[in-house]
Amino acid sequence: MKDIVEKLKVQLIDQLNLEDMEPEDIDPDEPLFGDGLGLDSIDALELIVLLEKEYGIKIQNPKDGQKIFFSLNTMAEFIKENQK
Amino acid sequence: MTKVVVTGIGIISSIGNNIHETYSSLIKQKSGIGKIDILDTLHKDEFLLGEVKLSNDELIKKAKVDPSFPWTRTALLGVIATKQAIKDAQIIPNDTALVSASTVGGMDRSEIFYKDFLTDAIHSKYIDSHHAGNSTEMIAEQTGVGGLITTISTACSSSLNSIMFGARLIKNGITNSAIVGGTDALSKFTLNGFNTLMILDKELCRPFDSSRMGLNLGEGAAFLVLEEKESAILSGKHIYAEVSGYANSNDAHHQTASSENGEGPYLAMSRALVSAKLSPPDIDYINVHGTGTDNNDLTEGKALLRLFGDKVPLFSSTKAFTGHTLGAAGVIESVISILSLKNKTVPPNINFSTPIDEIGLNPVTTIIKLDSFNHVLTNSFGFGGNDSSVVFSSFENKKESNKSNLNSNEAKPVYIIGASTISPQNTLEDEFFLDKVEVGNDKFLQILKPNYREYIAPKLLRRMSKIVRMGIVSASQAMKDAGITNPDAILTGTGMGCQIDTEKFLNSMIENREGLLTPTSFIQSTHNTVGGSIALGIQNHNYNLTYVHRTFSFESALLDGLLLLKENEQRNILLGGFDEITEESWLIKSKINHYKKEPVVNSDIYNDNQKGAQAGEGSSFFVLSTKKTENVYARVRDVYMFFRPVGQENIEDRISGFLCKNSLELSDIDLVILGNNGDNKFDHIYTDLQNGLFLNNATVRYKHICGEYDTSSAFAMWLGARIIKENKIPASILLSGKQNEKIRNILIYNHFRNINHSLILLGK
Repeated sequence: MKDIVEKLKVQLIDQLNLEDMEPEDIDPDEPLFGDGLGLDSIDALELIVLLEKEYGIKIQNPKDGQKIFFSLNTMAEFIKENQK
Repeated sequence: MTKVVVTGIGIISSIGNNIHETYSSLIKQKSGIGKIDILDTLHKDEFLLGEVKLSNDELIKKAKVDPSFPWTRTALLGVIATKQAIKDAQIIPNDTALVSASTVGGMDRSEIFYKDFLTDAIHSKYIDSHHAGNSTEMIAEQTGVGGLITTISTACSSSLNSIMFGARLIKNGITNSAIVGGTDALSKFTLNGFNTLMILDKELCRPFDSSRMGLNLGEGAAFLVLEEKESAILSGKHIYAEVSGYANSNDAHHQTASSENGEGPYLAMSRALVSAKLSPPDIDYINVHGTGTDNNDLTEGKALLRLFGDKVPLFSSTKAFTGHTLGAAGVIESVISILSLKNKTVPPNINFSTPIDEIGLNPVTTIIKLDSFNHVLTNSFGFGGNDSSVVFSSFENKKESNKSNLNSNEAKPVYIIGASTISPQNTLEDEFFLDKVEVGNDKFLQILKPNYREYIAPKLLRRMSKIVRMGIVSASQAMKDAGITNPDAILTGTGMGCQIDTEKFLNSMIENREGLLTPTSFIQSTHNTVGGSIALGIQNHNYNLTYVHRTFSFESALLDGLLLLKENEQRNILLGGFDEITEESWLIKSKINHYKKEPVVNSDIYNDNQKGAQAGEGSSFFVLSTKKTENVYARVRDVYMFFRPVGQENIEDRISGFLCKNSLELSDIDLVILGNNGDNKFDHIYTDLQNGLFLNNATVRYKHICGEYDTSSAFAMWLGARIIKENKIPASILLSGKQNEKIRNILIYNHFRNINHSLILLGK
């Protein structure tokens, strides 16, 4: 789990072009959207592609993203459960 | 009291190749959406499209055009629809205006040949077919349109905006007739782009249905001939309808999604009603935008409820017939609305069964005949929060109390009260006025990059490409300079738009074989990204248009701004022109000799023997106002564009005519700013003028300091405005002739390869 979270931090910064952020700035429990990291619906779509590209997991309905991408921890959890 | 009527219609889409087939499909409830036959995509078996089932060769035959021309599918569809409209209206368009619209222009060819453009360039004839104004020029050339031509690109609302602008050109007496509309061919670029947004339904789209899963894309073109009502009646024209109202508003909420309560759509519809002098109960039918996406239909429904309360008129989306035809959607649905009005018949919203819970609205699901049908409203909403509505009214039933005071207004003087430019020089600094020019030996001139972090929050900055950054910074500096925070309208012009984002999406689509694509660069590739982002940043809900017609782009935006101020609707207008240069776009255009192939010292470009110009980039913004302030720079007296003049004499005649119209003589012009760009194949036009018409005028050149780009005339306007304000010509801009003691009038003349010529007149 912890490995996935650490890897995700780097991938997130890269994919979403979070220029000002370092991996240690992201709290794995912090909400990614809204008040937390402040990501939006376009970022959610970027994250869907990230999951497919890096982990081979396809999400069909973008609405499912809300739960999966709540925080880095929920994302890592989802990856762990769905990765073949 | 000028009124504008529709006297001709041309249309081609997946539901028919002309007006009769279109109406017949609607009545028979025959959708044009189905399996992919024409578009060569790897998603062939995955999605449904509303294709025009004719190959490009078949379209060439149908359009009766020379097959050796570099045809794009977008241009072919446009020519076919325009020819029909001209024939229908029985006009000879030699002084008719043409206002067209497109989202991706010639992308249907560029996406196939892009890698070839970068390497061997065997298909180089298609390179110059890419820009969004190309189809407009092909249409003008094939149909003999001789008046003003321009192109609008505001994503999916584009062609409603071209109807609106065309109607305003007539009302303001700029032209007596205008051909207005739009054209967009299907491309892999848009199919894959919408796919990254996950808003494509793999089944038939179901607008306004609770089970809707997204949209189906389509293609097509439609054009209307608009004429001034009295002259149309006098010449015994068949009149379809009156263009009785229109409005454009900005949602200022998100780059792609509509706001929760449909603010932009609500404002567009309510302002269109005000413009038509109608109230909500007067509307008999609404052809809604209704794409079938979760977000659009819900928010559009909410906006309908806000405006019409519990008396929402009959409405339907016809996108389940045609698919979403993007830049052509507004005018295709306008044609459907006009046919509906004419036949007193409302077309159904097919594929609907269950209303959306939150709004409970039921669209029309069967064909309905009405006894009385006077006014139809049609909506189109686009990325960048760009929302438009147009009202068409039956000609017989026009309310004569609808007095419009548009053209009775005296033209008030228009002042530049704020200005800012980002260029390859240190021009963003206020005190600096080209005291020293940066000299370098480069392939192209790039802007001096401002420290963007001083101006834009890092959270917003992370997605913005160069053009968006420089646009936003120069816009905010111009507003600061003028002492305003929220303008009454935002008008922008860009020849090539967001090239960095377009290239990024195009390259990854080709390299990844249409897989694993991300949405950000697609969203930002739309031409109105800068205008939309400015509105979003300052929460501006007002009129917001983007013109994308090569070197007419900035001039068209300027013309629109002058008309708005004349119409008395607005007081302060934010106006800008911008383009960015990239390594790839430079490489491609150097292959067709638009740009020089080898590096050149910019101060030497006028003596360089290589073919082409030295490319550049920049962003210039202005605040125009009818109210003079202490910070006033200059007056904008007039702007004029002309296309493909025949010979030097004709150019001289046009310039003389323009001065005459403004009651000026050549001796009143204290300075002429000329657009020489070092391309010796075309610079002789400027030199001949210096030795002819402008023999006794002081002249300057400026492209050695900013480079050649489609909207460099905006930089020239900044230059002219400052020269007048400070009564000083910087030594760096090569003065020839004697400087008058007092600089009162400046004429700016630019042309692009002897195709697009423009004049801007500034005064004190």
